[in-house]
Amino acid sequence: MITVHLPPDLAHEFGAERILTVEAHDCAELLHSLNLRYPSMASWLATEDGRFRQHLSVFISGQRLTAREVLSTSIPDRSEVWILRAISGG
Amino acid sequence: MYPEDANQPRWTASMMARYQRQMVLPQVGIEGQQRLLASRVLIVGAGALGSAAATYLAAAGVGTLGLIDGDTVDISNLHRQILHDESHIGVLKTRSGAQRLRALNPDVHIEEHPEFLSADNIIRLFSDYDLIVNGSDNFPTRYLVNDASVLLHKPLVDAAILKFERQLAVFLPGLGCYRCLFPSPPPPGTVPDCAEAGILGAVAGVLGSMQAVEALKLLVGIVPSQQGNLLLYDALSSSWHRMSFERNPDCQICGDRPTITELIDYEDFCGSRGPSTTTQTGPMNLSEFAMDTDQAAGLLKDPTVAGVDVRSPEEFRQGHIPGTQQCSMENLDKWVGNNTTHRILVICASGVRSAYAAQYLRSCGYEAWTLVGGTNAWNNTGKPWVQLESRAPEF
Repeated sequence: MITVHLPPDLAHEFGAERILTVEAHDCAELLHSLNLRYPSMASWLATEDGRFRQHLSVFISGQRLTAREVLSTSIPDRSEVWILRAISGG
Repeated sequence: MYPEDANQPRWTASMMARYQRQMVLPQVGIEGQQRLLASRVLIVGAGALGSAAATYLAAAGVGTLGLIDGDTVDISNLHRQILHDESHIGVLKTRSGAQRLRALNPDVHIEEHPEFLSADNIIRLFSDYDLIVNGSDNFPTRYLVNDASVLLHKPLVDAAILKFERQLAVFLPGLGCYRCLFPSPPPPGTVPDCAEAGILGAVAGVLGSMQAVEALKLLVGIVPSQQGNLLLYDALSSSWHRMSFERNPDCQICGDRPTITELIDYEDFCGSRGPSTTTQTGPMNLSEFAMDTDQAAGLLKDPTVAGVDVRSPEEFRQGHIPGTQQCSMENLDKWVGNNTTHRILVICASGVRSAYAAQYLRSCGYEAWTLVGGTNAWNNTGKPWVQLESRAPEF
């Protein structure tokens, strides 16, 4: 199981909890699991060519997934995955 | 004990008394204090973050503080922007802030820049400072500040706030930048600003103070981590998390082969000029499936087309387009399973949520469109609108 932290506004949009646990071994499975629970959530998070959207920063166990890494990137069991988008208030 | 240097500010007994309790820290000492007094820091935005950061930097004895902000003080600022008070309503924030900071510490030279940052003035303004503290409140300025800092090799202490959410990062030349973290801004309309979403003033103070801490560490020479760190603070759960990142070799401005070598049009980059630019970061080519309000009104007259409003039930109750049905995003699958129509116009408040929903429906085989500008645009045209009666709350 892995723990996923969603951006608060995305969670609100889909009526989801901000922190979820899902069964997944890589980013593609993570998106699939999220999409099963919240239809169309995956299209908010990733493009059809298999990459997270450019306005998101994804961290697995505190390390940022680089732009070159794709959805097949593995996620170790019990990892914490943070999906962040920029905010602008000051 | 206190070296005389023509390039350093002259020590006074008052200075020794004022800074004694931070000079006693071995990481600061006399040399660190001297560095602070000789430093020049520019604060971008004299708002909530800038107020807290500037206050602590001035108190710590940073020699020159620049304040840049073209705005004036409004009463709605006062619950979080602690540089200003009620006697300064209507006064330029740079003037109000400068008065407060001079009263706090007369050792500090305050430079007022009562203007909004732009690609035309930023290089001139940034060039005079050693370090930039970013407390701006919109995406175009955030990308502008980042790009100018990278181009001028200035360290940047960046922070942003929304509701109870906080992000803080220190970007050092060569070790990654804001674009390495967020190559593009969120699609317009998907992330509200503080005016829409709200903000607790004290929480902004926490992050502005953290910006001051990070700036002071850099200025006194505490060697920073050689890896970028993004600090996340969630005030609701009182939790801090640290994320690590590295320079992105593909970064548009600090990567191995940068494609941005000079300042660009940041309003355009951030899609702040209207719905046509949302295609940059949106889910699909909007022009193919996008309907303006007139086209949408025509489409809704067709009995084979269903209008589906994906806003929340609360938003829908407050007002909606006649003949449309509410269905939250998470219930779309259920809705299409219970309806025979294959032609759907999707509607939301600004056209962003509906664009994603329309794309999803199209991927499921439906003929779906999105209303550009959403119900906001619809209302601006004065077209029919259903507003359910609202009752006064009972206490």
